[in-house]
Amino acid sequence: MNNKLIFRLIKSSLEKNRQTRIPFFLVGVFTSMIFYMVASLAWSKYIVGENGELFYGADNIALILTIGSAVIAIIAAIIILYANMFTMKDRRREIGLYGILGLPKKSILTMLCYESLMTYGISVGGGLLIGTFLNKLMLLTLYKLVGQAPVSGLMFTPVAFVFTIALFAGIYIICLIYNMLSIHLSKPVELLHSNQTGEKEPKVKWVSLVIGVVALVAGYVVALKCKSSIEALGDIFIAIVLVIVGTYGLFTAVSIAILKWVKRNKNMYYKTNNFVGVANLMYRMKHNASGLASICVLSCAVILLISCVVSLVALGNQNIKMRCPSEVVVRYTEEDDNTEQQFWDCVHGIEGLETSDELQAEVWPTAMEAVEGQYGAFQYLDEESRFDYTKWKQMYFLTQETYNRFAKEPISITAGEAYVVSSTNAHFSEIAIGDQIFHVAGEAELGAMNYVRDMSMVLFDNIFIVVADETIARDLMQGVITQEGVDATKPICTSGFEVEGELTDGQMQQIRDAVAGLTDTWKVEFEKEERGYFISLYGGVLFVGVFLGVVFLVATVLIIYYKQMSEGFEDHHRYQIMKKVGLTEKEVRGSINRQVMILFFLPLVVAAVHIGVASHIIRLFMTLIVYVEPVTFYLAIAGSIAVFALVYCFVYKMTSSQYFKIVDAAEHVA
Amino acid sequence: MALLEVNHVQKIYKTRFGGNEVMALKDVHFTVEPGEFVAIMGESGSGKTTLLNIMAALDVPTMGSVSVDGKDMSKLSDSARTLFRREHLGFIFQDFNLLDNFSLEDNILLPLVLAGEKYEKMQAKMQPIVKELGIAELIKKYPYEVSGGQKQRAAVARSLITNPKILLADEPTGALDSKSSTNLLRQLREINQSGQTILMVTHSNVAASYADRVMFIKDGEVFHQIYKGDMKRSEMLDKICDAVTVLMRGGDESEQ
Repeated sequence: MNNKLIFRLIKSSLEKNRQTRIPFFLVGVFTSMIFYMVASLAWSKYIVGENGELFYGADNIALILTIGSAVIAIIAAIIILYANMFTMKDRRREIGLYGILGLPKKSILTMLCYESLMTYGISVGGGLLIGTFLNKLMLLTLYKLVGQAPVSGLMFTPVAFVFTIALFAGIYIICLIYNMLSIHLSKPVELLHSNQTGEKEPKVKWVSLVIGVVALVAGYVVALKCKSSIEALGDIFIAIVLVIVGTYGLFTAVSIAILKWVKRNKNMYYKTNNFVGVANLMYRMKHNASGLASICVLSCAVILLISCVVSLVALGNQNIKMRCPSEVVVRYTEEDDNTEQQFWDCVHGIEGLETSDELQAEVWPTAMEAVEGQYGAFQYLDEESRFDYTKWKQMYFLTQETYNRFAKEPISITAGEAYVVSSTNAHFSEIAIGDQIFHVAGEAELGAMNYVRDMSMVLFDNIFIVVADETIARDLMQGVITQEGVDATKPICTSGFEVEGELTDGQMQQIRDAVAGLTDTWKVEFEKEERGYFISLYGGVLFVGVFLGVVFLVATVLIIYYKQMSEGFEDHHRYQIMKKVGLTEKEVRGSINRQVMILFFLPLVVAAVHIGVASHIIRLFMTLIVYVEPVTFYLAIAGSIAVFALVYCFVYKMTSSQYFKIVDAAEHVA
Repeated sequence: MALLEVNHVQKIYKTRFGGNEVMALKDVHFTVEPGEFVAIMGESGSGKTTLLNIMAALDVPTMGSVSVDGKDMSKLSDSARTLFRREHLGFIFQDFNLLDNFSLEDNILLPLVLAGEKYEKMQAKMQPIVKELGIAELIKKYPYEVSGGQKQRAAVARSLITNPKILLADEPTGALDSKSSTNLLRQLREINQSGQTILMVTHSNVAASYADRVMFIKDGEVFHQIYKGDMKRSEMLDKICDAVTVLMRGGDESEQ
């Protein structure tokens, strides 16, 4: 068997099957490129050098990137194996024909080996080449994000390069083994007639239907009923699993049940528009339901990743501003005026430090629990409920004097009155703290609370209560049980100031020293430091999130493309017959269009509904990491859905024209 | 007036790159009267399938015209031709062309559904036809559950349900065993006797012997015709066999 002939066969097979082979190459290039890029960053000497991290938080970023690259490797393997399976299914006939024409199996296997080697070479070669150029761009983007000065020179990470080559060699070898086995185990004649048997109409799988519906409803209920971040921590995984199970049930069983129902309804079924569609959809659902469900789940993953990344970016600044309402913030439990004065003297004594906007707030924070069945009534925690976080509400009492320092509109209230605002948008007309009842005179401004809010308590519902004066606030705190030696009636004070010009490291150290010299309740935070900390932690997440989102998107597009192709081939025969019986070209197009639209947009619509339902629990879950402002978060979700839908429509346009070409092609075999 | 007029039809196929021209039909000219059962015979490559495609409005002649009921089909637009086909012509194919994801009933009703009829009306039209064809019990089954003969009868029912002016059959017995073939041909005969015009393309002598008239096509021309008149079917078969022999011998001689 000479090699020349084998190469000619490979070439002609590539040309003939380019509709399936080109995407296979593209997928290889794309996945290897992304893996290589993420791995390069993870092991880059420009992030973690020989002497440890190059900038604050670099270790974190490297770790997250490493985990991310592992996830990408797994997904890449799945996508490539799937695409390979599809291209192979299409080629059974061709290879069967070679067998019948007398090409020995050994030569066919040789051909497959050469072919795999070539596919591997082109795909990974392309991926590495493009990746090498984009790597530098990625590094510079990351540097910009963390505020690091750019470096010059091409970035090349040998470990990542070798690892990419090895990993993808492994994936393509598995593909080759699969192909060889599928050829080796079958006879030529079987290969030739692989897809030509009639098949039964699908039956409704009642068990999956019931499981699917129950799982979906249960998942939705769990997601919607979740009230706090603490609950969300446990519930979110249950909800995700239930909804995934439900989605598969929905697509495999519910879809067929609905179609069957339409079919039983004679007047509905025997309508020109429904007739052809219902029967075709039923069979397509039988074959493709799990594929559609996968598309739906993948779409959810893409949308979620994008919206989480977007809201993290959008919320980052907001969070830092909340944590550090001024450039320098100190917090301490109320002291005598002397200590405070000592601190300010120290600050004012620092060389070159010019302060402005000096502010101070006093607040009495405590956790309480809502009285069951009595809206607006809260009771002090007792020995038991002190440790049951799930019921906690975080209350902040502050005086109208403090409030007026930050509010846009000053208020004036009397002893029995209060201004109230809640982080959950709950409204009260009367509020009871223990046995003291306040008439709510109006809603306080949430924006005025940055100075008094305790960021470690954002997991809980926060309720801010502005009372007339200090005596009332101290009185309210009498009922709070505390650890020994802590006086709850002493307020937490927050002072802060802005700095004219840049705050230097030396000045920061001097402020730290000043604070350390006071009592041990004093803590200082610098906005500059917080920002660095935040970015170093979430910069990595953001990078990996974007890459993972892109990989998921590629997987989605690929599945859709191959699905359209295979269905096109199936439908070609059917529409050819209908044309002979008298379906006009226009009717054929209309019918195909409707079908493709339903199949295409069903996963998208279901995904959008899932995300809509899930957004509540996801917001609560994300609150564990950062404070999530609802409006920004929901905007991020809506935006992500819109962007994803746009990309999806674009893919639809492209693949459906391919599909039309296949279905509507003139009979090539007589 | 004749129901079908095939008027000096010529069909030339060009190969894809405009090179060779292939003359599939040279000059075919004949008419079919209402209620006739006509068989068209010829060997592979004689042009009979091309002729059927042109009569079925699936293809247009290069020259000449085909009119049904005085209406020239080559002058119609593509979609008008499709509609014409749907309303006035019925088809039976060698490989049945039943949709395997529809039950026989749905396959039979397909043309009516496309025409937008009411379900009750469709049922009223279908019941007598399936009873006559003896498949009334089978209509809930799927094509892969019934035999070839039953499939073809379902296809006949589908072609008759629109009450077509002409029933065009392309090798209807080609994929059937002899018993099913005989059954089917008898049924076609009966359908014809109830007034249905049938035009059948075949290369089976037996199948052709059921027709009133047999036309032989050779090299793109009508070469010979046999009218049944009051002959018995066995006599008709003998005459057809003779004609076929002459036809083949003629071919032999011309080669020498």
